[in-house]
Amino acid sequence: MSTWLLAARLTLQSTRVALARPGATRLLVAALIVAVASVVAVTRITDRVGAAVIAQAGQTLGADLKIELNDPPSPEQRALLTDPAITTAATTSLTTALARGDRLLRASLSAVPSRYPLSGTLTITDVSDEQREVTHGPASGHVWVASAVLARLHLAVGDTLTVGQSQLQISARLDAEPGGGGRVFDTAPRVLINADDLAATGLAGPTARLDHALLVNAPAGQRAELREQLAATLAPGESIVDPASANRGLASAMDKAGVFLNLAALSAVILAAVAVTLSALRHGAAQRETIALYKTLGGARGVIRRVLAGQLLLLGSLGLVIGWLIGELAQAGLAGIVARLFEVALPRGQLVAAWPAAGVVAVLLAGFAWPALAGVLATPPARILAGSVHTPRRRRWPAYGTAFAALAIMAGAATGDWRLALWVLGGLGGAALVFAAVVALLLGGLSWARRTLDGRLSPTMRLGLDGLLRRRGPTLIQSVALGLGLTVVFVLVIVRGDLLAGWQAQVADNAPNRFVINIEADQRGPIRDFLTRRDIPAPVFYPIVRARLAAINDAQLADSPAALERAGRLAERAINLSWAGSLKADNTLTEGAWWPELGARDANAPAAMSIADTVARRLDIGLGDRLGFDIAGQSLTGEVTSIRHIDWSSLQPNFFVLFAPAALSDFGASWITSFYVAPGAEATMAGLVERFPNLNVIDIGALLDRLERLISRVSLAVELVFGFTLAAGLVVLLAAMSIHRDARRREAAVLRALGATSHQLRRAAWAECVIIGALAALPAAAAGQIAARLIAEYALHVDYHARPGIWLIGVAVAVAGIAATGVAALGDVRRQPAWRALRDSKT
Amino acid sequence: MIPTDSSAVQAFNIAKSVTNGQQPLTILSNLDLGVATGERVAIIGTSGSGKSTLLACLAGLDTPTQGDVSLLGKNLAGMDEDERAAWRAGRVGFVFQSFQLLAGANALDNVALPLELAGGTRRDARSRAAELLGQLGLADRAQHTPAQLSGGEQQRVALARAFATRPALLFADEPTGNLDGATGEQIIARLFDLNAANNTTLILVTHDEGLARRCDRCLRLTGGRLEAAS
Repeated sequence: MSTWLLAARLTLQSTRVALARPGATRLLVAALIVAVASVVAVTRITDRVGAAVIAQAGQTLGADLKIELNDPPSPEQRALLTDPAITTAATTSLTTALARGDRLLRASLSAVPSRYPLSGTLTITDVSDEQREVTHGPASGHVWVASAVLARLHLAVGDTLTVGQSQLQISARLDAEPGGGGRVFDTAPRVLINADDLAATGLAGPTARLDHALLVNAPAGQRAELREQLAATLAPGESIVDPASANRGLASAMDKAGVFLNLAALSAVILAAVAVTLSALRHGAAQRETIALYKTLGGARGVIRRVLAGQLLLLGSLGLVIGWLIGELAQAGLAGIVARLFEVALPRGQLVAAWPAAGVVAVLLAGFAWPALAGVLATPPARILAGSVHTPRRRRWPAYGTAFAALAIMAGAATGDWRLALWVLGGLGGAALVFAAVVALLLGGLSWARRTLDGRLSPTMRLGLDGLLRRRGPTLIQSVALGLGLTVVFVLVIVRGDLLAGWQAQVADNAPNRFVINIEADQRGPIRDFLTRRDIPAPVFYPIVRARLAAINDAQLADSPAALERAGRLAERAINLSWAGSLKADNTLTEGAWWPELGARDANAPAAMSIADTVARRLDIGLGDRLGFDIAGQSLTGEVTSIRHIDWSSLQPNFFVLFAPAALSDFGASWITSFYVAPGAEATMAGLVERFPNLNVIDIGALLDRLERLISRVSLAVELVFGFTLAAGLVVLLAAMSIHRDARRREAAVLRALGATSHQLRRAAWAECVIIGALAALPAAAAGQIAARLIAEYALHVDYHARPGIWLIGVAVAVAGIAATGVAALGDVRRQPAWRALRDSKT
Repeated sequence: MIPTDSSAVQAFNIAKSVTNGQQPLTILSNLDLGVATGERVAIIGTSGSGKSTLLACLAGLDTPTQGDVSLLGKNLAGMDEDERAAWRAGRVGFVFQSFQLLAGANALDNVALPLELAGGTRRDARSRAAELLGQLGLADRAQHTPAQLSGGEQQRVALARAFATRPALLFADEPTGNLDGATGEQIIARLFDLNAANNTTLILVTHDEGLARRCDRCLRLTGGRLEAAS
């Protein structure tokens, strides 16, 4: 017991002394603080902003959860929803034909209870022509209809509409409702009636094809469990929709932000690991004399090990507490801004969500600091008598390998993105090896240049070069550490730029805000003319063939319950098939080949088909598998020849299933397009619908507004977390530049004593540090460019833009920063009398 | 071997060489030494002659490349670093040229440290430390840290620490090397006083021949071997 107390006291004493001196120990704590702060901030921000986005997206779904059912909710399902904190609304939807005189219109009718929607609002314009937002559906005897119904049936608010066998009064025009963001492409004009009126219309008879839905709002804490319980009650073909899956545009933008934030936090942690390793080596070196003294006075290794481990524990606790506070403050500040701008109460993050921070500290200390410090444990006691006694070197690489593996596991567990974590860590490990080889080569070249140019170099240049070449080992470590740090910072600068630029383009002022569907083939020309005459650029038209999924690999869904279950909702709903000659910019081929590379296909072979990766995962199919479709009674079989990732955040028309251009020529197609309509030009749209009454115009302006607000909020988070990564880079810089600070100080003092002027010393230091900066920055610029491209294209799916200007500026700034820091580290030598530097320095 | 029951230290045919790059460098070569209990032996030699290396080997701080060392009756050969440290604890004291006090600990804790490392209780260790500091005229400096003490005071604290465990054997490595003449003289006087009072065997490494002559025996280290100094 007493040795534990003694170790504790020695730990406190030695840690206090180490922290009192500027240098390695403080840098070690700084590295831990940065790592913890960035992990805490990212975890909490992602958590809370994610929760806020879901809350906001819930308004677009109309509820926290939407359960799509084949039949009305069962007693079993109702029993799960009896908690008073849970609210529900059951809706019934069907497609019906509305008629007025000889005009017929296919419409999508929903019968909703008075309390509808549960989240968000309905926007209506009543007979007084005043638009307002309401949180209830139409009263019994009333009907609310979309503007397309009024235009095509030549009706006005206040008129009566025949719905099945009922006559209902049109008391308002339905301008917007939740769910518009989720089903933009298959929405016939909407008609809302009160649920009490449905039976009287006679439309819900036994033979009617009805879609039932149950909207559910539940407290956040109960949602996940409730979702699981409800999922267990679902029949084949039924599903639960949540805000994220209902709103692919928002979810996709949030996903990218999540990937970037995780990447930035992971980078900060890796940089911190580098800084921790470098500073622990120096911290350990500074402990050697003390350790030798302990041993000389009879201290056993066990006690000394406890002292060293205790130091790390103390420093780690310090880093954890300060880092935690900074991370919390940062996320609280950001969350405050986000909450204000979102105009929603931001849910409180859960404290347990910050667990990765403590794990990060544990891995950084045990994995990266301890191997450096444990090496010092072998300091021979004789060092107390002769400081130059050689300390046996231990192989630390196995320990670092283990630490890297632990970091990868933790990063994967914390981010849930194993692929990204392994790629980043593996990539950086590989880059470190390549950097070491390149820097060794460059040093060889410098050595040759030094010999060749001997007489032509200025004395200060010679001094700087000699200093560098004499310390090749430390210079190599220094350059590799700096190179890794710079690579990460370069990558994030570029990727961040591409991500933000992509988002800005998405919500640019002229991003398409209207979708027009149900266009007939021969209407394309007139519509194009109509729009161009009104200064709207000619839009691109995409064909749509509506089909139902009928078979998976020859197993007919009608005959195979297993296949039907596998298909789920895809079997229930019409699927929009389309064709395209070339791959759109927001589509990325992940498997297989695009049409031209397929070569000639056998005349009897199924049509080549490209499917979205989400469909491939949902149906568990891959290249070579076949899907059968029923297109208005005709069958078509397609073979998967490629799989695409679709970037839904582009908000462009996109299709799960694409064929080559000629494959669908036998089937009737309608067309879809999208374009931008300036605010105030609503009359243009009214004119379009007036002239082409069969068209459906869908306004996604509100969705774009939400996306724009979301993106500006998340951009703030991205900038903040990027700031932490920069701070981590700075700590690496300081740690790396202080690696052989003592030796450089001593040499500078000797030179000073021999008559070198401050000016000469400064120039020699600049020469040396500029070369170190270049050794690190040049390979980092090349590696960063490659990594940025890979991450932008494969992890974030954003367009990569090579920006030579940024690289040049980046390299210049990096070299200047490294040199200035290195020279500053020697500043005190130039200022203090040489005798003091010499007396203080130990061999 | 020099088999003497009363020997505090025995070294038989020890050698020490190190490899500096590709070239082996011999520091000690076929060296024999016996130091009797209570004896005061001075080892002198020029800088780089290997005095500190010899002291390290004799005290078990380092191991010779060949030969045997017996410390207070225990053959150090075959003992690992921890076992040697445990054997030294409480039995062997040290005084260094550069004092080697713990910067974070005050004078009292510095003196108490070897007692605690030897397994003594904190209360006993502090009580003994206070007594020694009082004997050396530092009672009022007990709570001061090394940075608050002069060089002479620091070396007196180091002396107190060396004698804290009432060691049977004391190694002193250039104890006055960092002190001015007058202060150095005071320290040596204290050292010999404590040495006599505790009947401690003393092995003193110095380049000061005047100081060396005050010991019972004076040996010169030259060419890796010891010879009697004239």
